[in-house]
Amino acid sequence: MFKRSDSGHSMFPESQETNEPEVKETNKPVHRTNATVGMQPKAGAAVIGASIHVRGDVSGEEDLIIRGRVEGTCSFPKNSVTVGGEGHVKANVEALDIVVEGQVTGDLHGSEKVTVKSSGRVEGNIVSPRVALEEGCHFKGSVDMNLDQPKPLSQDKGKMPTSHKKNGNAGTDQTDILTRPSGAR
Amino acid sequence: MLVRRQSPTIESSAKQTSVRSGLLPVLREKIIRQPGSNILDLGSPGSGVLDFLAGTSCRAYWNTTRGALPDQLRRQKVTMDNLAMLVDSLVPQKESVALDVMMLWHYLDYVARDLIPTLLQCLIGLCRPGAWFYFMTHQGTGMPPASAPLRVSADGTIAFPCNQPDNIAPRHPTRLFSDWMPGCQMYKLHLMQNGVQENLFQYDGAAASTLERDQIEKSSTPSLVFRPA
Repeated sequence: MFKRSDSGHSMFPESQETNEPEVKETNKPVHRTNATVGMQPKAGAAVIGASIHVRGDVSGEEDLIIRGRVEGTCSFPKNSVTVGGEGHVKANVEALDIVVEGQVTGDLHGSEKVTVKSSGRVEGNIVSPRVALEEGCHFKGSVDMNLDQPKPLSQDKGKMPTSHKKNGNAGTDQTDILTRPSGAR
Repeated sequence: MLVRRQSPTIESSAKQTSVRSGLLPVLREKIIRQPGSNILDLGSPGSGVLDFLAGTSCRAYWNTTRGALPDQLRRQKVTMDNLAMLVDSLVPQKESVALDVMMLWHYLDYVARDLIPTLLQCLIGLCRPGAWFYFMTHQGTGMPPASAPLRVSADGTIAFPCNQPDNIAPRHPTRLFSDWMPGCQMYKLHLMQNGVQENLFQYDGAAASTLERDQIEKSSTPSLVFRPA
């Protein structure tokens, strides 16, 4: 499911915090489980284990639960991405449905919904028709309230934020969603 | 014919008091009229505020990574000299954003009075002319020592924390904060039924940034007389 990953890091997950026997199969970087800890059970969701550190672009067409570290980009336009409580993501995330219980540094683009749980910590911008920020969550960034049409996440990684100054229509500019928070990567 | 007068709702309970805001709907109208507005919310993000701002075509900014503003001021022992640095850190993308709306909520009540004029001047410096400032103030019994987040509903109802007084009446004199906000005009003032005063100011782009510091210090005592800037 990975387009590219850095093989210089261990891809072997440690034992997962679940009672499912299959999680003891530690020789696969990504495995499927029917039960997750502290998250909505998602049948058949792929899991990046707590000990896994991925650098690069992660994409696929199945639900993903991130309990480890991901740096790069994360693109699951037709599926959901859940960042577990112990998950650390330093990437722009594009998915149908995004749930954050851990830490994310990067922009979140949910074509259906983005949810930041009370334990979640997000530094980045959120673009989605529906956004839920639970009380107690840490959030540094912006939420685009121009919800008429979901905008695609641009692939232009190097693009710098466009100026909003003196621009009354800044919120409608396609490039606005590329705006990165200061200090984010 | 029985005419039922619609009045602000106060739902008191042991835990919180809910009061209908008089100025949030006004502010929402202003935001809608200016699509693409950049809003800095100094409160805590929540689904209620998101619902309230939904459909306004704005972009709302939060930075809660360091806690609420008064808590930051208290914790970091902020002085006049390093206040600007703290304010800079409040805006996630300061270098690329000029703000149109500043939502201060009730946090000024928890800030040391001598810091407020400088704090407001720093905040005004982040805004473009025409920007709106919304904040609440309370006179009467003392405010709780720690700032508790308010909960805002989509219809503009504000739920106050439990230790807010339910009702204070009469409440006078009305405090006008024009001296605290150089370059700003008071647009509207509303006294809610729980004794909390809502204030809506508009920054008219006057020379707030050129004010001498001693002028600000002199004006730290709020005037009771409204003098247009």
